[in-house]
Amino acid sequence: MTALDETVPAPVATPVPAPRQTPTSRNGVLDRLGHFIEFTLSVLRGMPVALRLYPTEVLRHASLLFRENVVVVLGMLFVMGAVLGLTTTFLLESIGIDSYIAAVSAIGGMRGIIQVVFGWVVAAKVGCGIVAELGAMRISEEIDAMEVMGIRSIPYLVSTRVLAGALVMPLLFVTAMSVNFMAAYLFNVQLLGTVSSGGFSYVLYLFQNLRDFVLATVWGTSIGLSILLVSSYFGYHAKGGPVGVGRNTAQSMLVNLVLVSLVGMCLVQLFYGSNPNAPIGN
Amino acid sequence: MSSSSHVRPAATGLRPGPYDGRASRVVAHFPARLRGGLKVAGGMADLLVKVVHSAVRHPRGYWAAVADDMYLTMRQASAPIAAAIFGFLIFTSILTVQFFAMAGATQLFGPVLFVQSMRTFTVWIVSMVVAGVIGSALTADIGARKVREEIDAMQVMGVDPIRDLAVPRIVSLTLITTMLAVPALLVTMLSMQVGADYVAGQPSAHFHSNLFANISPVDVVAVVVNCFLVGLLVGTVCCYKGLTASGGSIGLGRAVNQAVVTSFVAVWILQLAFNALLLGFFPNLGAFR
Repeated sequence: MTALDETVPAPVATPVPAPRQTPTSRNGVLDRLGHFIEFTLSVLRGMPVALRLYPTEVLRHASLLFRENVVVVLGMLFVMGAVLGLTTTFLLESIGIDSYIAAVSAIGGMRGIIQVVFGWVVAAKVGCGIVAELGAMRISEEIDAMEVMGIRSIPYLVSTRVLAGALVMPLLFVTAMSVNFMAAYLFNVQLLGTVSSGGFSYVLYLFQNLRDFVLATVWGTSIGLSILLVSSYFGYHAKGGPVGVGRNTAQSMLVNLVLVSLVGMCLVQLFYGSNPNAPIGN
Repeated sequence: MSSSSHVRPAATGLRPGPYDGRASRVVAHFPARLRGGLKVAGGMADLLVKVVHSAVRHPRGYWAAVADDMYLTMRQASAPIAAAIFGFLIFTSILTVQFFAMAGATQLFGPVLFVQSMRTFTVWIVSMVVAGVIGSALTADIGARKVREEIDAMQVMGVDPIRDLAVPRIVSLTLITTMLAVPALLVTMLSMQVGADYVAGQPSAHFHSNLFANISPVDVVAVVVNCFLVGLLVGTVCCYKGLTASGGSIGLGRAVNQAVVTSFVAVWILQLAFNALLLGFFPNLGAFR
């Protein structure tokens, strides 16, 4: 036996590349950002696959996305319109331009505040939900099982959700925006009696046009989609048991909140920085 | 052994259970869906009363934990909070100052937008960030202990989880939110001044003199009180959701999700009520001088 052992050379280990580590919070912000961009690219690459292989899943997620979130999103935007209507009434009355109360909704609301508040609600309701769902699947090793069974996990889990978001988000945003205007109308015209009904809708539509509407919808949709991507990233890469899922849910909320603000800051420069697109003053 | 020994004590009317009161019996008649919401709201109110009672009646012994918690939270959350407030307000300023410049009323921009911000935007973003960043981390922390049965173990060992976990965290979150009010207003002022300078070319001296001529102390106190209420609300909601988390990792994730959504909805309803009351009691708060 010993002679045999001596003649057989020890097997040479084939160089196996070390598995890519998912960055933890100890790695730098840039590492995580790069990892996130890599993930986003693979999600985008998975979109045709998702459309070809799992179209029913896209539609299922679209219906879930709408049915589970519509009440909370519309309710929050309604309350936001009410608060804005209430506070601006007192403010504009004190400087004597309360007949232009609807301009607050048409300019302030439509050019950013509705989008940002929409982003907050979507981050809280949709984003945290996705992190919890995907994180739980990752922790209970369902995603690994899926890979073993030959289902491509990123197209099946993430790309379908993003495609569903691309279907639902514009519609949800436009509905939310009209609910917001409705709340301002109810508070200013019916409750406080600041302006007449005709005066409200005249000013509301005077201060917006098709360009504003298209830009607002593009803005709202892109905020919604980036929230979906960020929260899928945090859910898909959860680790460390239930605690890790909880921590990732909290962290995705932080990233989303800052993202919504900073995206708003850049987009308002891009859309309105050099061109106020207003019916007055030019 | 007669048959009477098999009758439960509650049925004999000797010792009513904790939920045998009239209010509990009334709640039993509600439809199931409404009852769930009532149960959650009642549990939150119960937790709030217990926490306030414990913190006020025995005001010693938890301040070291509060200080540690505040230090950790501020180290993690101060940069995102400042970035979120600055980003949001700078685009509001740019939008608004354009219109004030077109109307030739740039000197009104500072006071008008700042007063509006004090009532709405600054408080909104502070409460969203507190609920989304600090509150969700709080739920994740307490919920993880609940899911790992640490809280049950504490109770077995005779340690009160409300005194030991909930009181320091809720007190620290409330204090942080309250103390965030004035720095948030300073960030608001800075971002608005940057916007005014950058878009309308208004010198910072004009901006600040117009601003301070029009801000009343009542306004600032109202913001601080509003932030205090928001902190108490968010702390209670998030702590309750953490203490009632169940069902492993999916349950914990869902608890964090529900905590954020519930505190958002509650905060917005609070904002509506607070502003309606404030402007009702002080109708000429925004009067220009």
